[in-house]
Parts: sequence; structure tokens; C-alpha cells
Amino acid sequence: MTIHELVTLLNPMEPDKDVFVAFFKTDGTGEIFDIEAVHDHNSHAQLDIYEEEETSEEEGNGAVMLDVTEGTPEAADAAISAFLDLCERRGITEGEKDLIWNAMAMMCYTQVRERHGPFYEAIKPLLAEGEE
Amino acid sequence: MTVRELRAALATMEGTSDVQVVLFKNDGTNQVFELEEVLSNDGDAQLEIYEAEEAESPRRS
Repeated sequence: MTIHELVTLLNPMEPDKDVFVAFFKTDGTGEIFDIEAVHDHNSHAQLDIYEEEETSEEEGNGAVMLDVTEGTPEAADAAISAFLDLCERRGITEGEKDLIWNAMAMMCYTQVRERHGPFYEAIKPLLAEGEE
Repeated sequence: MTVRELRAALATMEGTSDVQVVLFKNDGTNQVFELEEVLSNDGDAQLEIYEAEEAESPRRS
């Protein structure tokens, strides 16, 4: 299927609706994937999908499983390290990382400005300390 | 990803080029698929790819 054919099929669809990939296997089963990225690959459109990470009781679900208290510098370092590790595994570029960091920073800034949201609630005690 | 986002991502690319789907697996390998069909599934866009059939070895009777 060409890009033109795909766009033609997408055009009548509701723009805010989701796009997903359905993978049909020869054994009759199927899997659904979200599209994680769209690249120009040697002038072809490459849609990236990722196999679900296997989870187990022992290994957790990929979240940072370190014995650190939330809100401590160690927790922040662990969270950043997990993010950078994810970026490396998924081949996320420096530009895409900047986009994510900027989006997170803007979200935090907006919550502080509007004095509303989980980030604002988390830093409220620190703000109160600063005012004393 | 929404229909709008996918259309925007494709807008800058050559219309006659092919679309391929790459499945990245947990073991570090990946598989490339041709996009076979696009359907509307409850309004969502369902892009369909199919696992390649195992090629049967030719047999003569």
C-alpha cells in the first residue's frame, strides 16, 4: 500500500479517532498495537510498533523498582535513569527527548501557575516552607 | 496516535512510496510487514498486517 492510498483511506475518518495496527497471525490469533512513531525510511513511510514487554511478579512492569523514597534525590535520579534507558531501547532521538522534557516542564509550570494538579500538590509543602 | 497525527506525519512524504510496519520485538529483533488493509473499527482506523504464511516445500506426486 502506498502513502497516497493510506491517506485516501484515512481522509474520510474522524481526525480525533485513534489509529492502531492489527496483526493477524497464521494460527488465527491476532494482536493490537499502538503506533509509536512514523519515520521516513529510505523514502518509505515506516510505522513503528513494539511488542508488549513481558511482565512477571518478580520483574515488575518495567517501572523503577529501587528502594528509594518518593521525592528524594535518589528517586529523581532513578526516574531520570529509567527514562533515558527507555529512550535508548526505543531509539528515541535527542530531539524527541527534548520534546518530552519540554512537555513535562510545561505541564509542571502550568500546574504551578494554576495552583492545581498533582505536581503542584506535591511541591506545595516546599512552597510553604519557602514562604515561612 | 490519532488519524490526524498520522495524516500529518505522512503529509511530508512522497505519496507514491510504500507504507511498511516494523514490529520491534523484546529480543531486539524486528519484522517488517506490508500494510494490507485499512478498516474503520468503531470509527478508529485499523491498519491490518498479516504474518507471512510458512512456505510449503514443493512436492510432486
